Amino acid sequence: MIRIVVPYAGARGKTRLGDAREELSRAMLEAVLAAANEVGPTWVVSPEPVEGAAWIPDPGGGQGAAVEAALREIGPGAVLVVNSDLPSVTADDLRALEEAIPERGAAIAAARDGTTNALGFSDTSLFAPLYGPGSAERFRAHAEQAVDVVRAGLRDDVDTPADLATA
Amino acid sequence: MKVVVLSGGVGGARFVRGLVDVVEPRDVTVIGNVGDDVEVLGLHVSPDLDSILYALADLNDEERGWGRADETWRALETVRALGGEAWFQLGDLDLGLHLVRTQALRSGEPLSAITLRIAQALGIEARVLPATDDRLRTWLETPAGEFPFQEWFVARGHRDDVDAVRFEGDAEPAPGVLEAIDGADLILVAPSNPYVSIGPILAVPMIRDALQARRVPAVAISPLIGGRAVKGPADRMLQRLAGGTSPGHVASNYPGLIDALVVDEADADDLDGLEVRPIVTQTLMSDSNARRHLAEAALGAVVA
Repeated sequence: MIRIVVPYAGARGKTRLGDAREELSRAMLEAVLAAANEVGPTWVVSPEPVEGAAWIPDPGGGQGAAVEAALREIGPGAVLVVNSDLPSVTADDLRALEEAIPERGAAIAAARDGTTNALGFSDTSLFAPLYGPGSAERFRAHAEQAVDVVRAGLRDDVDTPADLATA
Repeated sequence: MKVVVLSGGVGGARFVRGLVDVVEPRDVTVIGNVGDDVEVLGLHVSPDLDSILYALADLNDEERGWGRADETWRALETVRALGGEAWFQLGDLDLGLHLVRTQALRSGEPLSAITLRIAQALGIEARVLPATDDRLRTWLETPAGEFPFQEWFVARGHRDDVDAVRFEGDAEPAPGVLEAIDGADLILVAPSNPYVSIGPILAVPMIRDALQARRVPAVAISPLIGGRAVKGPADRMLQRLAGGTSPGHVASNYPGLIDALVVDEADADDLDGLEVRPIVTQTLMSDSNARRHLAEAALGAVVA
């Protein structure tokens, strides 16, 4: 059973979504946790506890710092890091990501805009806080072995109201 | 974004059909294999170009994988009844295209020109080019002797193991091929047989050189799923000629020619020896959505 970490900034993490973002970001998180819990033990790293997964406090400092804190907490071993804004992600998507993890490196699921939606590592030590615009390419460059994983459920994230139409 | 795609027949044609759903069709140039071209009943048949044309014009038979939908075979029945050359399946609808092409070639029109003319008449916006206008033929060396491609593939049902593939002819690229490669933002190699579909295209020395000298990314799509060919002899050929059917074996056919290989999820645990970047996705083109998805996966890896 692979371990799964979901960084969740809370409603304030979705500033581009406008009104109703709290409800929406919570609903997307629930969808991600439902899929994750089918696949393996799941933690959410967030400012406040959420239902549906074990909680690791977000130390502040952005998504990279949050994931680093969570990986320290859960200790060495294989892990998936899955963003919370993937409303159509399924357990099969996460299993496919796990399957693709190379021995020494990362499985990378990029968003359409070149940011990173989900990552898989054979060990937590292989993670580096590289999030932000163009991050998929940085994760590829950082990994000794990088495998791209392309699946609709891992690609279609929701950053803007327009994204909701395709999600 | 301008895309050049090297393509064989069935799998390649399906892939190209998906590609024009996600890229502006005018920005797509398909370079098709002509090593399988054959003269049947006095007609020049270009099976791979025809598969591409029919797929792009939505005239192809999805189930059979080659030829036209709603095809009938009355002309062939007559040929057979008269003791004529009936080993190659030429449908009635299909025959019309071969008649037009053959007449054009006889009157001195190059293959590339008549192909563009046919594509235009079929309402195809993408550019479809044969790799070459010159005579280029694929030969298979087998334990049972040496055969031209169609004799091995169709007449003998590709039952003979292949010891070597040989290309006959001194071919230069068709007009527009090098220009398309030069102006491309991305080069794709369709999920076609590396030896008998893509191999003949790469056997045109100037095409291979242009690909080697590219300054843009090149991505191939593996034709295998779980180490097996969806259709045709690609897996058997890889086993015998490359020593295995892993993604690494597929990529070994394109040395220095590709930067990434799209592989199926079923092959994700078999990436040892793969020296280019793997892109893992579901590659079976079972319907139009799956085709689009595969095209997006091949494009997505380079469009940041």
